Order: sequence, then structure tokens, then C-alpha cells
Amino acid sequence: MQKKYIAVVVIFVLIILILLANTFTPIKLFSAGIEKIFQGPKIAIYGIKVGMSRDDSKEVASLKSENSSLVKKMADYEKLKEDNDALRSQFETTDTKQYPLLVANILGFSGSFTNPQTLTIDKGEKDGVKPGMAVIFGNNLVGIIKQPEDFYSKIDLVINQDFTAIAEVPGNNALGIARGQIDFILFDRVPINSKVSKGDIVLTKGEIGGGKLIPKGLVIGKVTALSKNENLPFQTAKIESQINFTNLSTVFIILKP
Amino acid sequence: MKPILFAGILIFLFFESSLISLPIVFILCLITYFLYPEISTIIFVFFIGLILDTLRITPIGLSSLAIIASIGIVELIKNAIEFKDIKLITTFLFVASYIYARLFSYSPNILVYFLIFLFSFVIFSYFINSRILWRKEM
Repeated sequence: MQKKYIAVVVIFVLIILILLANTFTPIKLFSAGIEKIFQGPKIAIYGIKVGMSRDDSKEVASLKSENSSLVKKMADYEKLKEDNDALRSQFETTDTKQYPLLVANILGFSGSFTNPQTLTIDKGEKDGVKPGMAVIFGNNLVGIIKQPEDFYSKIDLVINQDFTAIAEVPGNNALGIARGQIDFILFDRVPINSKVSKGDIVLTKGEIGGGKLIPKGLVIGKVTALSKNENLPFQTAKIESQINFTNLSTVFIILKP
Repeated sequence: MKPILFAGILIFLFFESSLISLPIVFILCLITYFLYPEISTIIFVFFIGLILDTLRITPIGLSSLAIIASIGIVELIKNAIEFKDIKLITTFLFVASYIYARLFSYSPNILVYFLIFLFSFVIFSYFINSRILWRKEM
């Protein structure tokens, strides 16, 4: 009986020491080894999860694909309108081909099954991943890198409460802050005199520095509701991401915005 | 039975956070300790916690701390409360797993944890009544 008490206390002290020395080389080696061992099976198991949550209806899939394509076209159209300004026309585009991308497989999630808040991917610091890097799918912003380990990284999705980014509605010059709200994104701090309408596409304004590496022109989502009071200096809008996060199995990290 | 439980915990390490968003490994670690309150179990769940933290990208040691702290609570209060009562064990599991789930960003749906509570109660009762499984003296 006494031995058990001693064992609990000794292990408790050991855990405290481990927590205080998380960057100590043997602990890093241990975690790197575990990450490598579990990587393959976890990717395969996550694939099963994606298969379970995917809608099998071909028609719905086709409509979703068409919708995604139209959203991209709308975003490009808005961008082109804005880019009539001659000096900026060549450089402001939503095309992500200009950025060096790193392909990453998703191997885990946290949050609920149907509404994940973070994703775990199989790329880490050893692959050049840094905190604050933007993660995309198509030209849609999926989230930002929160915590890279040696071979794994955690992504805060755009709906995560820890996510914030400067956002804009191109063409209307409506500038604000996009914040994750668990199941949608809030377009906050938008000046009351800025014109925002239902169906507008909200893009990233671009943030380099301050722990963030988000390029300009990535699609955050579409405005689905507005909240406006003329007596207040700011208005807010509800944004819904065009991505179904439960269906993702591969994402792309923008290495250099 | 103990090797089966240990193997089950190792298998669920692959599934947790990839296919299911419930703290199954945490629950299984506590169940294993209830059934086999031995030093070898404490050491085993300590290492399982370290692996779990690595896979979930949380500071290494946090899950072990949560598991060992739960075991510590059981050890502290077991003299005051009759901890052989299955109702008490399942209630403890329910509360501990729900708190753990909230702290470690698992699925926060309380209904799911209530169902786990009912399920584990039925399983425990069945195994113990049918003498397939015997809890050792604590």
C-alpha cells in the first residue's frame, strides 16, 4: 500500500519535471519517435473518418464543386474590379500558385466529430513549418499553424475561437477583423459606413509579421447575415467558410507569402 | 484480462483524435487502474499519457498529470468512501472524463459522456455479476 503511494508521488514529481523541460533533447527525441511510428496508421485511420463524413451523393458533390468554382470566380471578379487600379493590378490576385506550397496530410482533429476546431497534420518544423503560416485548400483559408512540433503541427481552423485575421470585402473597401466563433466566423469591427451585403466574399487583407504569415486575397468565407445599428460605430457580419472541414484529408501550407 | 486492457489502450491510441473525439484512452486508463490498482498499471498509464500528449500536440506530461492526479484522488478518498461500489466508480469516471474532455478540447457533448457512463455501468455490472471479471482488492 505504501509503495503505491510512493509510486504515485514519484511519478507526479517526474511529470512536473517533464512539463518543465518539454524542450529537453531526450523528450524531443521521444516525441519525434512516437510521431514517426504513429504517422502512417493515423493518416489511414483519419481517411476512414473522412470517408464516413463525406456525402456520397454525386449530384450534391457536383453542386458543391460548381458552387466552390463560382465562389472562386466571384472572388476573382471582385478582385479584378479592384485591380483596375493600374499600379496594383498585376500583384493582387487570389491565385495561390505564386506561393511555394507544402502538401500536408491530416491525421487528427480536436473538437466535435462534425465541427472540428483544430487539425493535426503530418508536417512540422523539420519540413520548414513555422507558427502563423497560412493553411489553404484551393484558394480558401483553412486556418493558421499554431504549434509545430518536429514532424506534426496543429492548425487552428478559421472557426476556432483563437483565430483572428484582418479581412476585407474587396470592391467595397470594407475592412474588419475575422474571428472564429466555434461554428462560424464573425466579421467584426467593420466601420458602419462600409457597405457589406449578404453573399459578399470576405478575403484576407494580408498580414506579414506579428506572428502571422497570411497572404492577401485568400477566401475566408461568404457573408450570410448582417448586424447593423446606425447608433454604433461598427457593424458585424456572420461569415460561413466554403470548406467542409470534416471532408478534408489534405491541405497546403503557404511557406512564403 | 490485464494484457487485453493494455493492448486495448494501445490500439485506441491510434483511433483517438483520428476517428473519435472522446477521451477513450483516459477512461480506459482509469478503468484499468480500478481493476488492477498496481504499480505496474501506474507506470503503464504514465507512459500512455506521454504518448497521447505527443499525438495530440499538447505539452508532454499534461495527460499523464491528469491520469495520475485522478488516480491520486482515488487513492486519497478510497478510505473515506466505499470505492468498490460500481455506481460510484462509473460516476467518478463520468465526472473525470467530462472534466478531462473540457480541458483537452475533446467533444464537449455531455450526452455522449452520459451514454458512456450508462454503457460502462452496464458492462461493469455484467462482467462482475457473471464472474468473468473480478476487481482486485484496493
